Amino acid sequence: MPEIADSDRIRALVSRAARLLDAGAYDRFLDLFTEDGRYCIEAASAELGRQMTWMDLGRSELAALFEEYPDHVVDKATRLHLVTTDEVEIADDSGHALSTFAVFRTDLHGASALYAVGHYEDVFVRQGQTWKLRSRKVRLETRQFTVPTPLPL
Amino acid sequence: MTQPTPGHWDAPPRLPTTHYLDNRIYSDAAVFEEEQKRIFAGGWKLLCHESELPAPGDYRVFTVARRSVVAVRGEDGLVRSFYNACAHRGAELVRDVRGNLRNFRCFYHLWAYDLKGQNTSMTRPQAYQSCGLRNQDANLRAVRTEVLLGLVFVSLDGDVEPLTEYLGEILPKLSKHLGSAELEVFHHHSAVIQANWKFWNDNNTEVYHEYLHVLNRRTMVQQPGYHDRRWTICSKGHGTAGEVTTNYAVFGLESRAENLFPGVSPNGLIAYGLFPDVLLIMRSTVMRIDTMTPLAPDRTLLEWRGLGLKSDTPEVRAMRLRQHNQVWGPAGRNLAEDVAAVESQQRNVMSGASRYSIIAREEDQRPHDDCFFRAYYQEWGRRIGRWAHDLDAKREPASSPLPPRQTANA
Repeated sequence: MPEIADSDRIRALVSRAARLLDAGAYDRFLDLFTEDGRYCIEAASAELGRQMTWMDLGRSELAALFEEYPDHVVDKATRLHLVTTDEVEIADDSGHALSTFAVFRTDLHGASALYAVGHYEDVFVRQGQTWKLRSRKVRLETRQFTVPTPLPL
Repeated sequence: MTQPTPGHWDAPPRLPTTHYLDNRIYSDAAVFEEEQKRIFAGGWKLLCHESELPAPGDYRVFTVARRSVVAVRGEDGLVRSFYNACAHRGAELVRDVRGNLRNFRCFYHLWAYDLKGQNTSMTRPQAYQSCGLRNQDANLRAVRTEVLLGLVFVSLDGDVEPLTEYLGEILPKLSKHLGSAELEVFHHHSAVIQANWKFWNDNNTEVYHEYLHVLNRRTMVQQPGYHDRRWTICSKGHGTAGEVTTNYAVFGLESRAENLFPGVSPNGLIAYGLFPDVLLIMRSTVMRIDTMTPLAPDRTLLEWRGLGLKSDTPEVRAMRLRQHNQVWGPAGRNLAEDVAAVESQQRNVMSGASRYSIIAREEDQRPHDDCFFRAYYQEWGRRIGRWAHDLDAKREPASSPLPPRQTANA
């Protein structure tokens, strides 16, 4: 049934996005987005009592960030995402998904620790036979990071 | 060229004693305790900006020299602070980081206090009649609080000098930025770093480290005129390196020439260090304020705030937020690099691999001169009665320790 197949394709896309970030395959991660795609990270501030926007970039801005990243002093640890896609809704050529994620960070000595948890709120659009991310909003539960990062989560 | 030898760093560097630091200042437990007592408890500590307590009843909880302190805006509009401890038997009055209340009511035995800290109710008070305990004998313990230019400062030392005297000659410089328009905190985030608080403060106030940041290297250090400004060193450990112009275009970022922060030029950057732990820095359109809570010799809670103008339209606020996040946001370009640097220093200090820090740059008080670094540690040493270049050398502290206090009524 087409609707189920589309749902599976969206779940696979969410999973692939995580694997590409873990692998540092940033060009291929960008390819998952539409040309006008948008990536946003939000986290609550208990101190101010409202949501903070930590990042809000279009695809080209995200591309520029990935390009300059190697020039910065970077965290050399690796990251591993665990993602479950909890809900998928599809209406014609648009889709929405809500996923829960956890990122584990493994340092240079091989010690792994939980790094971040949160949710992805994704909006998809069908382009031909494939689905693309029109927007991803990362809603972080984690607000204090052991090692800050400018990279998407 | 002289080859390095294992014993080379067993003795202090061959420099004036003002030009190097004994790195045990970053790791020694006794020094940490003395700092808590003589600097964080004995001086002025910046808590927050007043916009974080906009309405009567708004409160925030902070840790000052390991004591829990609650700052609250009263019905009369004044901000007051109290130890977050019920006068009865010390339970915490508030157990979250912020909120709004009409009065304080202890969750344990339901004693109540108004927003001025006055005890208004002791549960079943008749049992205190025989000993004569009255409401006014059980007020909250007040903490000295002053709000200046929108900045909320406290001191656990009731005899501390007035805040205007403490800030001294840096005050008119701050007034240019903080005194002409109502400001508002629009961003807050925090982190616990594995480093001594002074490493973060050093990083904030020594301009030489701009080589760490690829953005700063390209947009400022390599630009004409970068070295033309001079440090202004004020008394009591405060100072500023003056304004520098940033060329954001070389990094593909938008120019910052509109909706400027008060007192800042188009594409200008200016920073102020306030002893002991405050950085106040502006990048044209947005202000950032750093404060610190030392947790251990090798662990510090950092808080970062981003400020705009209260009058900002949604569009202007979105612009300030975007430009704030480009550099200073939790996912911004620079903070991760700063954290990497200071944590790297701390590992080597804790292990003993690094014994001394060289702060010997002399460049006619130009930005990369270590003159402010040296002035800061002169003040640090004066306040805690230590020499920053030699922890083992004797020195009398400038002020006496915080005296023990009886329970105080407001």
